[in-house]
Amino acid sequence: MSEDRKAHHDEWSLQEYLDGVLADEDRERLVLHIAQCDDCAAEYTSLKYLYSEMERLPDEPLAHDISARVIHSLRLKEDRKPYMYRVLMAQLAVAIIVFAAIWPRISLELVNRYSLVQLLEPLRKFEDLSAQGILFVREFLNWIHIQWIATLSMPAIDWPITGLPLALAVGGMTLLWLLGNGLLLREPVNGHIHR
Amino acid sequence: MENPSDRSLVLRTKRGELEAYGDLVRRYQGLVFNVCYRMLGDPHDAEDLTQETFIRVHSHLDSYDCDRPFIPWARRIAVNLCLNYINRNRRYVLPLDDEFERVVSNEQSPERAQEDHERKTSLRQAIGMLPAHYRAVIELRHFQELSYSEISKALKIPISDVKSHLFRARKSLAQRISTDV
Repeated sequence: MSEDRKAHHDEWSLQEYLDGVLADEDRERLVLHIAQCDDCAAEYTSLKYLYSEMERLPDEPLAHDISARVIHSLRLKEDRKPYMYRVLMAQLAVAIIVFAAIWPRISLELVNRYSLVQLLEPLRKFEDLSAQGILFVREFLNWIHIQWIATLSMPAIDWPITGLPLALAVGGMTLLWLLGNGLLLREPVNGHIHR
Repeated sequence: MENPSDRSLVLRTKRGELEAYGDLVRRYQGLVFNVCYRMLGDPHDAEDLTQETFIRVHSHLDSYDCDRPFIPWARRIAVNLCLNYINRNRRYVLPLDDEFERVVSNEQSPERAQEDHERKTSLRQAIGMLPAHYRAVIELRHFQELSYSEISKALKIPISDVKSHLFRARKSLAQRISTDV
């Protein structure tokens, strides 16, 4: 294949030439070729026309000044940030308490049922801590009960699920609730559009 | 009184002066709007994305190096936001590349296409018909005058992809505007 023929087929070179990134040697060869080849000259003219049209494409005016809306959104975001942060922290704390409450039961059941002793071994420490935590929570709830709720009565509820399924359901729903709210709260924390 | 520099407005914004940021927005909203308009082809969406760009720019000011020019950085953020927006919105989903090229090359030119205004409109429409990643490279190369490697960094794609997207996008645009004129 001759050099001219090779250049004729290399359409990339034309664009690289117009972009000003073609090597000197290739550039000289291409210029010579364009002068002799009608097809490449037409291709070059068409591309050159496109480049100049894009260069001359005028900017469109923006219909409204959006600065006030941007500043309003940023102010709203700043105002909400501490509140949202506190809400997220409170949710996280509640989720930790719920998991601490159900963890001893879940771990015991899982260990018994699936022989996960080795897998759960690193979590033993956490289990002890959570057991202490749950003891504290129970004492606290008991205190609340004695102080305020002892005089109230409630009809017995026949729960359809008990034991491990109930604990897993409560834990799972808490996790979903935490993640769901986290996703919902992410929008105002990161900023959004106000027309 | 002389206009404050971008750098001083950014520094004041970083110190918490939102009014200074308002000045920056007023100064560059037109430029950013045109980036979004070229990318999206819809003035209403472009206005929304312009607003979102400035909100995003504000939230990333901590990572912005004040010694570098402000507007190229902001315009690159606008391109990336528009790309994400196009990918998220079904109405911006375009035919596959091969189908796209067939559609473009078969279109007939209107009689009045020689008029200057229509030529511009035609070029805008042709850019708007490009697949999103082609539009992005055209925007960055022709309107923001970035080099291949700068585009590669801005879009986080290999230089070879930058070149091939540019090549195919220009070929399609050249075909389109040559059939329209």
